[in-house]
Amino acid sequence: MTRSSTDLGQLARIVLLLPATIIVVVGYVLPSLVLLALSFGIIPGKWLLSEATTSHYMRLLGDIYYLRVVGYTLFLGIVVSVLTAILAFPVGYYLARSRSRLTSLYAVLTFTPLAVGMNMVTLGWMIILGKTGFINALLLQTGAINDPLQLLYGWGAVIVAMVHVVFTFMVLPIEAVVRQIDPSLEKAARILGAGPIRTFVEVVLPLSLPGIAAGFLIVFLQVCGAFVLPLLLGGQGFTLMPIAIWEQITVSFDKSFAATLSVALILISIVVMLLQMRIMREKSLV
Amino acid sequence: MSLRYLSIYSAILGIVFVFPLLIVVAVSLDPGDYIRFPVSGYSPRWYIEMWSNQTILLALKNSLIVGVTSSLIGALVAVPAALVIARGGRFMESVVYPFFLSSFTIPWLVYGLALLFFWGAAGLDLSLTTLIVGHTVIAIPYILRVTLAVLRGMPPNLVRAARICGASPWQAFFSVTLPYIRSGLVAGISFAFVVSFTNIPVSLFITTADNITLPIAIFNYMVNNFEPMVAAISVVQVAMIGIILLAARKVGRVERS
Amino acid sequence: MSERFDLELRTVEKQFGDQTVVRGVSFALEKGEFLSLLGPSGCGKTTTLSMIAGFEAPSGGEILIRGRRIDALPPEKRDIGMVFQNYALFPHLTVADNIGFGLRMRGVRKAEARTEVESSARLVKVNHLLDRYPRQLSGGQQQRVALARALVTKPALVLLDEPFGALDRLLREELQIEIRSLLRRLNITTVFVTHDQDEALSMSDRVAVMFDGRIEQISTPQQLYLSPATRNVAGFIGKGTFLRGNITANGVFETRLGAFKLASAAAARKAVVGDYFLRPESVFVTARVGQYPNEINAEVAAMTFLGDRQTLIADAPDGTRFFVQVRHDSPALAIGSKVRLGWGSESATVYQSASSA
Ligand SMILES: Nc1ncnc2c1ncn2[C@@H]1O[C@H](COP(=O)(O)OP(=O)(O)OP(=O)(O)O)[C@@H](O)[C@H]1O
Ligand SMILES: [Mg+2]
Repeated sequence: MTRSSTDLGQLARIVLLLPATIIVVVGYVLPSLVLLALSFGIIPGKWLLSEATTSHYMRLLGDIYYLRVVGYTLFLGIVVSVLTAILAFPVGYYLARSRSRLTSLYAVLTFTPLAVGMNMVTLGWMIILGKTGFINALLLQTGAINDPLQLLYGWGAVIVAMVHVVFTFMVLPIEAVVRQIDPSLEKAARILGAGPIRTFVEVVLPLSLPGIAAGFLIVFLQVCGAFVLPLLLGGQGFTLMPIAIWEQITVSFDKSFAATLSVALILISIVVMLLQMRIMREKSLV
Repeated sequence: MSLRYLSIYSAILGIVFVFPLLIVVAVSLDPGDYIRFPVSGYSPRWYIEMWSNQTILLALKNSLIVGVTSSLIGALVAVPAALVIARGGRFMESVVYPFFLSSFTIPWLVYGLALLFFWGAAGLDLSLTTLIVGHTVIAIPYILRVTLAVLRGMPPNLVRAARICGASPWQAFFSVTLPYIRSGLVAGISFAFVVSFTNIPVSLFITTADNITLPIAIFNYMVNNFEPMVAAISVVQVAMIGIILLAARKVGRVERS
Repeated sequence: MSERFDLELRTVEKQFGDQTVVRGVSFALEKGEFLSLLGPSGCGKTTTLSMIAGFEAPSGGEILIRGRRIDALPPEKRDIGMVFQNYALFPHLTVADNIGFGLRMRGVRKAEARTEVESSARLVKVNHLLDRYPRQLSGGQQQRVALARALVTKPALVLLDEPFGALDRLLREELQIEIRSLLRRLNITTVFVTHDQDEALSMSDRVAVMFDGRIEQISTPQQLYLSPATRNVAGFIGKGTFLRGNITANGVFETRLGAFKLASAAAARKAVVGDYFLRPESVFVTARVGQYPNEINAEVAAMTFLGDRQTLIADAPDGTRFFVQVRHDSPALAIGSKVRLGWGSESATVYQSASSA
């Protein structure tokens, strides 16, 4: 009754929100529930015949193979996040501070992986690192080696290409946060006698932590969910959670266990997000 | 920190990042039957052959349909939602908005799997339509976020000014709000299109021979036959993305000089 | 019945949640009348204007335009022109399209609209800027365009919400005079919102002073200054000194500074606790003790010279600050020197305290 007459009425609000809500409920909420049900052994469509069981979760927790897969996934997430943060910080700082016209060119360069898609980047690194690829060709031609090196397949290839793919997600929040740091703070620290390194460690870095943390979260989640790149660059036996899920569907035909692994992966994402939110909240209290 | 060193560092990284893409372009021009380096020569062979490959043509057509449809439907439903959410309110901030963004948090492969099970349980055959639904769900957060950011920066008096000048709510939306959010909206739509046009994990489980998409076709090639044609297709895919992004920039440019 | 009024508000109320922002506001404007809503920030001026415009629905009361209830009409059906605080020009439209917006919404034909736009633009002297975009205009030019946009549809009523808030003083004064004479020439009924008392006093036919959602006085600028109806109004308009105290039986107002004689009308209200109010121009510096019915000793705290006038600020022994208007060419008094101040009984007003009523 006190709402303003140019504001939307209750009915208008509902009508405007409805289409998006329907799509998200039908296209996302219900499928997620089906996935969850399946992970407990309940087969949608045959509710009455199937019985809820936690056996798939027991299997996951009891099988050292899958625990190792979970461990590898988390490990890759941490390694790539840390490496990307270190490599991306100078770029983010540069993009935020420089007034040079080159910055927009650099921005375009670092953002390309986002625009060209995973398959293009993966293909590029396969060609660079492959037995008949760019690096081996270069080394063979210069006579540095006689037999091609095994560069492709394994941690090294996956980490390098993964850093490439997620780089943008780290640069953007760092750039945003550095933009908000008053440049005169750094000048003040220098005038007060801090060297460039002390200034960085004691002024710039602590103030950029929120940006780094935001980047960390996105990168970590991206790595944990990555599939195409680790599958093709990791090679045989390099199994992360998404790859394990894919194998359950295409090789073992075990839908329920695939669902269980999926739920576990979602749980990991949620835990990481909650952790990050918690850390950020404590930080902001200081 | 000396910006000059940082500039050199950024330039080197930029080159390293673009290099894999250039390598793909080089390989795509190799007339040989397998991928190798240095390339055996340069010819447009694979660029010509790919157009007589029925799977690739179908996949390309499907991808364009799915990308365009899902990003446009995404805009059609996300913009009205953004209008409501932008008016604020606790419930909007803490429940409705996070609800629409929630599909951001689920890994794409897992989402694709959930869709596979869901369409199975619903008894629906996999088709372009089922694919479009999935891609629309992932398009919504991108479009919603940019649109909302623009709407929140819009002075509330603009719509009021339109109304007092005689515009009905609809007229005010089309003559003031829509032009105001246009460039942000176009950016959101084109980004959603790119996401759809390059997406493998969501589509992986829910594509069949009939509704195969371009990235899935490329993925199958990369897994099964690793020949330079896959590089040529990838280059064509990137070129199409480039064209679409440039066109979007033109459409999205605001004419206020 | 009340069609002689262009705009009429009858006990209009507005609540946001459990907070009442506008309380029982009533007034009626005749054709061509210019009313200012004046009051401190947050007193409900914009809210009142928004209800007239139709952006907010009143929680109670009635609003009529030319005798017709309009509370249920959406803004676009109210036939009102409005200038917003930051102009709210449409950034994607040229000046011409901004001005012509209302005509387009009404389906006026292109050629006809073009002439209307041009004549409106000429009225506010922006006819040379028609092809520019708002961001290419100065603040004053944007202001003019906003006014042209509001006037082009020849509305029954124009609302102006602090239209000069963002302009510098010289430009503001120039536009005040120009816009006032334009509106008078067009004979358009206007409600003008401001928190600047000079602006309100200089432009208005009548001023409504609002405090906390209520109109405490509505009258001509002169009356407002010369006989403020409430202590709030007295304190808000112009300068002055308040002395706290009470009226005793024999027509005397007793304060900590002493007992002051009252004119008969004020003395009639007996045993009242309240404030005794003096304007700077009613207080004089006197050399001869006993020249005025009421006199006190004070110490000069400052002299402020404002070109056309000069104010002596002097503190009484208890710290009460007195403002005394002196001739602008009178010599400066040394700070700290003693002065004797006096005033006549009839120049004071007594405001009853709410608690003593
Ligand atoms: N939509 C709203 N919801 C809740 N409270 C509101 C709303 N709009 C205004 N108010 C409150 O109503 C009161 C009056 O606001 P209003 O904008 O009318 O004041 P104003 O007199 O125009 O002040 P100013 O001179 O600062 O513009 C304020 O306390 C404000 O906080
Ligand atoms: Mg206001």
